[in-house]
Amino acid sequence: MDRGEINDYIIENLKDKLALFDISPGEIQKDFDLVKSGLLDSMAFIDLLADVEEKFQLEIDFEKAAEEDDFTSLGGMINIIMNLGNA
Amino acid sequence: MNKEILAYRLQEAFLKYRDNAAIQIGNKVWTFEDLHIKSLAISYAIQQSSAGENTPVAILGAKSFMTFAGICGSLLASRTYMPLNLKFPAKRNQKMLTLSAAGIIIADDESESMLSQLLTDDTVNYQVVIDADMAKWSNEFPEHRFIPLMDNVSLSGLDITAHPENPAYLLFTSGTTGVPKGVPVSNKNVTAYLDYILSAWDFREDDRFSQTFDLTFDLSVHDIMVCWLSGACLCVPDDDSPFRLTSYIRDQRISVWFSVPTVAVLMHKMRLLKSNTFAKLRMSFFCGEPLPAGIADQWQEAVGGREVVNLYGPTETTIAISAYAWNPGNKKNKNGIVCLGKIFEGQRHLLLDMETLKPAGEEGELCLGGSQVIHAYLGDDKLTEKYFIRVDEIPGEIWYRTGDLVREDEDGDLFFLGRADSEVKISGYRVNLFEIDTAIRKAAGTDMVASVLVDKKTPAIISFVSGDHSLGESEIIHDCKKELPWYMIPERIIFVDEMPLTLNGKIDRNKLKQSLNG
Repeated sequence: MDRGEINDYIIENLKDKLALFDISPGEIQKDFDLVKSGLLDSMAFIDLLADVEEKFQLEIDFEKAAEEDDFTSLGGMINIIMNLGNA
Repeated sequence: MNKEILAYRLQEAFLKYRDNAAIQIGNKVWTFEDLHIKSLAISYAIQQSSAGENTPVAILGAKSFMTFAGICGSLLASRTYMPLNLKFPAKRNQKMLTLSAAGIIIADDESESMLSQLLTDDTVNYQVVIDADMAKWSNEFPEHRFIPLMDNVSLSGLDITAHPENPAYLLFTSGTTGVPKGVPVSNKNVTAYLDYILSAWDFREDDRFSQTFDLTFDLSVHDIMVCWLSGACLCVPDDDSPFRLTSYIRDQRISVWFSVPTVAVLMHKMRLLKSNTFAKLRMSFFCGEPLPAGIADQWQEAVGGREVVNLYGPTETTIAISAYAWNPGNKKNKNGIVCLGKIFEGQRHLLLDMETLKPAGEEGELCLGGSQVIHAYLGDDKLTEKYFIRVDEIPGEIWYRTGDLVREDEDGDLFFLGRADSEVKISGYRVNLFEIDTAIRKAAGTDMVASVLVDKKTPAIISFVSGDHSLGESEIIHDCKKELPWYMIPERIIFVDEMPLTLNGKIDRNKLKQSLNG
């Protein structure tokens, strides 16, 4: 599992939503905030993380993760998952 | 009579609990005396303005000390307060200002950008109470008047001249025609609620209340007023991340919790509702949307087995009007949804047969009457006539038709069965699907529009559009965002060649919904 793999999985998962917002997957930067941008509501965001958990066989510590300021940004999410993978 | 006026009740609490902590935002704490002084400064400023006495005072701000003091200051000045919302589009706030005819705006420093947008409307001369650089604002908007706050105020305050029938607050809920419905709630209505709730549950001076609701949501009135009339501390989260509420409960040592069930569902999905997670939480209230029984159980475990209270009540009946205490011995539920409980003592209810408009047996549309129930919408006789009815069988009472279908069991406990109309709930907010249709019609330039609520993993609004349409999906959604609050924006727009119709020739929303499962 590497950053690119996780990144691709998330972008693929959000494909329909992104199209709706006229955002091409290539435009998404690390600091793009999935919730503050209005792309996902908080429930859909947690559902996305649940999908990620299942796909990569991980368990996220949500309370700890939510303390990170960039929790809801693409890069922040990937950091959390990478840290788990390396633990 | 004074007991029926919210300003008196607040003033009494300010004096009685002077040295107690009244409000904590992040790490900053203000006492009841601090709050009293700031509220009085605002009430004097309101008094100085020349704007009409019978119009509400608009509150524009984040959840700041100035905003909460603005609410109290309006009440102490014997005025109605009307909260705006920084998260709403400017157009929506503008509409609320226009409909309410508010002439005064109390603004905190976080509202600067929204305030500038609202003040570009020069058809009204607003009087703005603001704790900021007067000269800058006056230069930029010379057609409006800016009133500063006084440094020294006398604690004796102004004479309170409000009448029990005068509205204490004015809120707007989603309407069918695209115009939000104004709900004026009188001093009498709100003090009736407070008297009941304060006597039915044991709130204490050393309690620490949560504050999760937006001020445009009437459940925030419970947070603020139940807390302060009990002499307790209102603990306001200092960031609005819904993901950090678990640590907020723990760090702020919250003892009285109140939120929509969605918040608990979110915590559950984050696997945070573990046994005894919230050991300090003595009381938990939920309201605003159906409470799933499984979530009530999970929450109960997290609070060490203590009771979880499910409240129910539309804005028109003042905050909440029925309650069910969920505990190991009482777990009534239907279709996995926790029972709504009994109507509060002193308030009245009636089940209406929707065909005959006569009182029904154990199942029907819930109608409510009594001292908590308002009697009219703001300036709309037609709507008022539709929702506030009289029934021949029970003379002398005005009944509010909730649109909620309920069943009553032999104990008088009510169970929610569904809605009788196009209104749905999203995160506790009342949303009329017709209002979304209206916005889309305007954007898409076609009449054939129908929105439905789909309960997938999470509830979502899907809107169907047919006929000539000039705009695409993302353009329509973009246009909706300029008109509607975030919780009313459709998740998808689906273009169809033809709308399915019912036998009566209306768009068949159920068929549309079914087509999504195909």
